[in-house]
Amino acid sequence: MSGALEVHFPDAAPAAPRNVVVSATVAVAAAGSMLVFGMLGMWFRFRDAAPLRESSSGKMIRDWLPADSPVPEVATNTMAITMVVICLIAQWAAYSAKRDDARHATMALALTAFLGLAAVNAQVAIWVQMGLVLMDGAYQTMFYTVTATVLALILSGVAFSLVAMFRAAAGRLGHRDVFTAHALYWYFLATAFIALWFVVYVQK
Amino acid sequence: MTAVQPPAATAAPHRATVVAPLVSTESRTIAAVVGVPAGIWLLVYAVVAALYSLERIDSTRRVFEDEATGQFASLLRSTALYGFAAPLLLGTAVLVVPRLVGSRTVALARTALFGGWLWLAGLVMVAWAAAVDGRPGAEPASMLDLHLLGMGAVVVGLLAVALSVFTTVFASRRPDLALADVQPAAWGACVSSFAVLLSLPVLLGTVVYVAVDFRYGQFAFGGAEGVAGHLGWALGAPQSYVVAALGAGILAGILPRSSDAPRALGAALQVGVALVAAAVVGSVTQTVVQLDAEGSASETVRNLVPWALYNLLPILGVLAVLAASLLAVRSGVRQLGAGFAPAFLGMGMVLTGMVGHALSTFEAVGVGGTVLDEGTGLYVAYGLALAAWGGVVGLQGGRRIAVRQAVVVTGVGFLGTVLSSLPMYVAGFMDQPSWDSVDYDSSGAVALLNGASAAGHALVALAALMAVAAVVRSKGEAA
Repeated sequence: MSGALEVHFPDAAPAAPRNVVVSATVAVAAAGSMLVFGMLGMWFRFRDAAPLRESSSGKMIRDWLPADSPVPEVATNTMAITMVVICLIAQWAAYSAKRDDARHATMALALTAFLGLAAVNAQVAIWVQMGLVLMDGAYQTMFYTVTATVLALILSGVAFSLVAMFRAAAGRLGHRDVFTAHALYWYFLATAFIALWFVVYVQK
Repeated sequence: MTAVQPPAATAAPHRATVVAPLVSTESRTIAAVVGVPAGIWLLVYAVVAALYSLERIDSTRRVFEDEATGQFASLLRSTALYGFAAPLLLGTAVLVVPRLVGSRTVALARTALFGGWLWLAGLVMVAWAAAVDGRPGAEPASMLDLHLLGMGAVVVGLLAVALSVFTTVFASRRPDLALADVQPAAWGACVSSFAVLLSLPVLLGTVVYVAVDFRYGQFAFGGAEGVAGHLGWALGAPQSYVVAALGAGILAGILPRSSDAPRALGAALQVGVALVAAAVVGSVTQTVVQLDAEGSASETVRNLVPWALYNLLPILGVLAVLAASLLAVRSGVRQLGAGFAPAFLGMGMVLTGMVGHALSTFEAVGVGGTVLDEGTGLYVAYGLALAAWGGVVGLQGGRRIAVRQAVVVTGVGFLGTVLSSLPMYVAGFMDQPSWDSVDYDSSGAVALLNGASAAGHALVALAALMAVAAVVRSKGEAA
């Protein structure tokens, strides 16, 4: 008879399947962040190289933002707030999908797409109110390039919302990772826009 | 070494239809869409480089028109890293990584396929722009828009392939396979593709900026000259080191797994690969740090930290991988696969290029702006192509390349790489200026060096031709 004590450990829990869509979205968000932050870095470089001029208050400032083109604060701040609200709504969609609530998920996703379009509208309003002409100088060129790039990213978010909405409307809530990835993507978009908002519209 | 053996691949159903390259989700087909054109481009590149070197043998006599020389230079500058080095490595990763992590095919296969075609379309645009009138650095550059559009397409295409490779290792590996235990080649693919995902978008942003500026007024970036200056950082080191991590991973993954090998060796290989990818910090800042010995001590120290981060860390990483691989060979190898030699020699070439680049950033050495810069780029680009060849020979399952063919391609490729690049190092110290400048004394040794370089490029072209033929001929041969 063996004196050795046999110890039986319980079987380990089966490994959870990994989430391809969420992982890919994280990678895309990282790449997108580098795109926007890289462009803002270039913006800083040009802004810091701009010559000095005297502001209306008598202080010496960088001659970067054209003096006759004030930033429309209402439109820019509204757009920033909209982006934050979209994140909440997108998270509501993910929450509803987790609970197999197709009706609320569809509604939340439709609202996300709608608010995304509202953000697009706000960006167009900012362009119209500032009245900058693309071919007037370095600021104008870089302003339109960086804001249009972020706008294109927002439009991709709207497309994502619409695709997810049709999935939810068809009752396909089984792949919840799509809705989690959707929320994640809007978090990235909101972060990217807030960075742009602070650098381009607040710091000027 | 890693304890986990690569799992047996589950063969995907093979449909050899004409439209397969357009619709297939098989990793082998996607790898072919990226890898075969990249191999052909390596052949074209080496031929053009040979002609370019021949042209520089005698600076007083022109074989080609000045315009043609400039076009050669533009093509060579723009397409070494993105025309063959990065796509060959990413294509190899698409080919081998699913098998190494136990996945049927790559994750987001259609994204990768789309990326492969987009990269190819972009490469054609860049080549077409160079062939007509669209090269950075030279006015009037009426087709520079096409060059920039092509660069954008190349970048987005490679990003899509890198996204697929990263997601395959990160999320599509076998459920019981921890990330720390993945095969070193898969680890290298994961780290390197993520570094590519972080660095190429910065280039994309710059391309968008300069494209808009070039089209509308040229206020900020200064026309064609400015385009060359603002995109130059992305065409060589340290950006090329980001991709080199994949080559280091291939070398680490090719090593035979021996139970006698100390476990620390596997960790050293993984850390080495990650250190190479740390060059991403240098590339995203879009700067090449120069060390100026004439400045104050505080300035020197201030420059030394980023310089060491961008240059020494990647060198340390490659050194660690090479040293660990030699130790692994020593500690338990009875038989080395045919893929080891090209991967090891390729990474050795990359190391030589890295050291040369680090040297060129010392202002006191005085070789900045000489052909030594070209030599470092060639060492890295051709070295990476050799490492990719090692991956194709040593890591792909299924069809195999005949050992004799593999050895011949490796030998010719290695000889060609050394012969094309090393003379540029020497000519750099003899003050031959880089790229399309003709203002140098070509008498004596310089002519000989350029002639040797031309012969080296011709050998690389021959190796590329033999490699493509070997890959095509391997079709249908069972493992």
